[in-house]
Amino acid sequence: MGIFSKIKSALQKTSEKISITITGKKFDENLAQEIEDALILVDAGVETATELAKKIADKKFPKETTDMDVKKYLADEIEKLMKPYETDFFHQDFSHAPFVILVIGVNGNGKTTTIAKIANVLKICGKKPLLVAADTFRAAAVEQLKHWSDRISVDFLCGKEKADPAGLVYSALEHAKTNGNDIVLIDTAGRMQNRSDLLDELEKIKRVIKKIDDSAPHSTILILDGITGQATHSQVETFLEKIGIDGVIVTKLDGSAKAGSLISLTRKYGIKIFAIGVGENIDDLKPFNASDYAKAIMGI
Amino acid sequence: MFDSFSSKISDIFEKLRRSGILKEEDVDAALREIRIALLEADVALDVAKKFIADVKQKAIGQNVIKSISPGQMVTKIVHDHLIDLLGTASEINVNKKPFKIMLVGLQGAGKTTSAAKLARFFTKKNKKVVLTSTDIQRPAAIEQLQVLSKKIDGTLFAFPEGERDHRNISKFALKKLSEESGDILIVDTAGRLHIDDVKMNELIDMQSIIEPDEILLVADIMTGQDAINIAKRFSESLKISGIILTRVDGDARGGVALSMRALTGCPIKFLCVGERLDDIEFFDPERIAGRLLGMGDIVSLVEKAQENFSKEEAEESARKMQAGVFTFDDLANQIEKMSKLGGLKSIIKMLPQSGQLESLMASQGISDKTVTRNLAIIRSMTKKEKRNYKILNGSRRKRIAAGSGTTVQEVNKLIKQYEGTLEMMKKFRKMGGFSKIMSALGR
Repeated sequence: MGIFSKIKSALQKTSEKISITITGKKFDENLAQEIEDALILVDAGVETATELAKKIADKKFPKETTDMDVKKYLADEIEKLMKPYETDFFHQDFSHAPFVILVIGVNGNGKTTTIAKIANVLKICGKKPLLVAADTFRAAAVEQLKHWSDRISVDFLCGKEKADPAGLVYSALEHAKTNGNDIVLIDTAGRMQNRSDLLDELEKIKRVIKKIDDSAPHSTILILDGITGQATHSQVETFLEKIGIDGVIVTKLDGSAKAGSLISLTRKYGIKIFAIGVGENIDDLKPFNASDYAKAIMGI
Repeated sequence: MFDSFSSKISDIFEKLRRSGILKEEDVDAALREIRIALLEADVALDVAKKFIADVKQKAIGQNVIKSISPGQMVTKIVHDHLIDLLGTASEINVNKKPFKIMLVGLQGAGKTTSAAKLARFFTKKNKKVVLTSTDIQRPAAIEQLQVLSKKIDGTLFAFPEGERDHRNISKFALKKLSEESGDILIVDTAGRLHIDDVKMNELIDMQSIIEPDEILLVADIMTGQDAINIAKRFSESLKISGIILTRVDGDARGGVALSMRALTGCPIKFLCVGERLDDIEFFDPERIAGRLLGMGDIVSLVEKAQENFSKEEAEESARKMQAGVFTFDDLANQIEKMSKLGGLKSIIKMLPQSGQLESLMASQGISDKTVTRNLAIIRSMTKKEKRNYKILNGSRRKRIAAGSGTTVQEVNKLIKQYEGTLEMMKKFRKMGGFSKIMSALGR
């Protein structure tokens, strides 16, 4: 199975329910309501769902329009909305050495696994990544990252148990310079967006990074769980305001969830989508494609 | 958790209260708003639709014209229906020996942490707990539970070294359970997608080996509309007996509580409310429904505060306030305690009328950021300055501003606020002290 077909098949699992909702009906006014419901079902949120449904209601479709035409029209609209935020994380200038990547997010979103996936791609591209286990809070988080670093044979650094993560990050950046690591990937502890003390800790990590290299971190990635509903908004808002983020990676999109809140998130916060996670294997990190995503949402 | 939802609902009923007599179109308008609020809170679409239909039917059946306060009546109907849907507060009876619990759910839902929390919960009740994990999928998942189990006295971690087969791990744990005559077995499983048939069959397999008394579905409170698929697939495949909701300490509106209850038909048994092992509690529908309806979760706030402020500390600070001794050290101490409670923002969210309070604070320029900056200012003061603010002259203020990375204006502002607090305390004392005021308010 090629890369592309895997994403499609992963996303298609979600679109089944939409196609069932709409297929087989002739185009009529009720369709607007059905479209709204279908969009709500993929977590697009009431506002976006109403807005897009209104587009359908307001548009003068010719008489012979089928539901498939409407879906295609809507998929185009969604694609147009999201296209500006489609960004391949790996298509950027990684030449600054060491290139520091800070990975943040709430608990259980898939930060550690995603870091391993990123490191693997960069290693294949000839880079020498260093994985830094700055999640000194969760039990065995360090071991989890260590396992991955062994599996893909990249360098790994951790501190003592319950060590100050900012201190560890400082020594990691020094270590990268002497060890010749041109990529530093920092795994941080999961934290809820309303825990101001933990966000302060993250701010401190960022300040420490800046002390060593003012241009760093060169990329701060927020990991979003594809299964999360409208709470993604407060996550993006808080992390953006407090820490600053360059883009998001959305994980667990191989299930039946579709992360429809992305449609409004990208516009509202101007946030790029760097990649999507579509499985537990090391190569299950795929570029985000607005067209595929829109089609999958509409079940085409 | 339900903060924005509750402020929305209180807005809706504010409108209803103002309108005096309840007309059908008012009910419809209110229900439309409630529908939006429910959906924005991630309540599953089907559940939200049914909720609205049920409430409408109940509301129309009532004699609305004779009702004195129509808004209150609808509030009551919505509240009662919420309570109905959320189910009763459930205790878990683990007196059968041995009692076996299996935890299942998606990746990252919080199963492993929940397993350890449950172990702690039961060991506190003097039960001997055996913990095991069949999560051979996620790297270091086994280590994670093992590390956690070491922190819990009276818990045994049972895992056959190097074993990779869920059946053998299950059997090994069962053997240990009887050998050690443990009271409770808790089995953590690998996270899996509900659409992954192979992995779901693995769980069915384990269910028949372990014969658990409870299979608890662990779900993230932030789960979106996919809750319907998760709930259906898990409860169709396995004998799910209850729900554990995790990350309840976050600010997600948590409609999944309603959805999971309605879609699995299983009670919500536990709420996980923090990262520490003690952060687990029984589900209480009244509390959550109260929060949904804008009455605020004062019970939660009080409990949370109790955990962070010891009785001695509280008495000490009350004594100091009574005596009119309130130094900058005391102020700093209070600010720190507050940030442990999740910061100003999250405290306010637990209170009734949180919406208005929030906008009031915003207009006064009070935020968690200013609180942190104030803390920095106090920390830059010398001991002498903290005890006696009157010596804070221009040059001292300048030094403090430089030391804390703030401006002299900010330092001035804080001192002014502090003076205001002292003034207020003086007034309180004249009125007869805190206890007298509080008892007057109580009436």
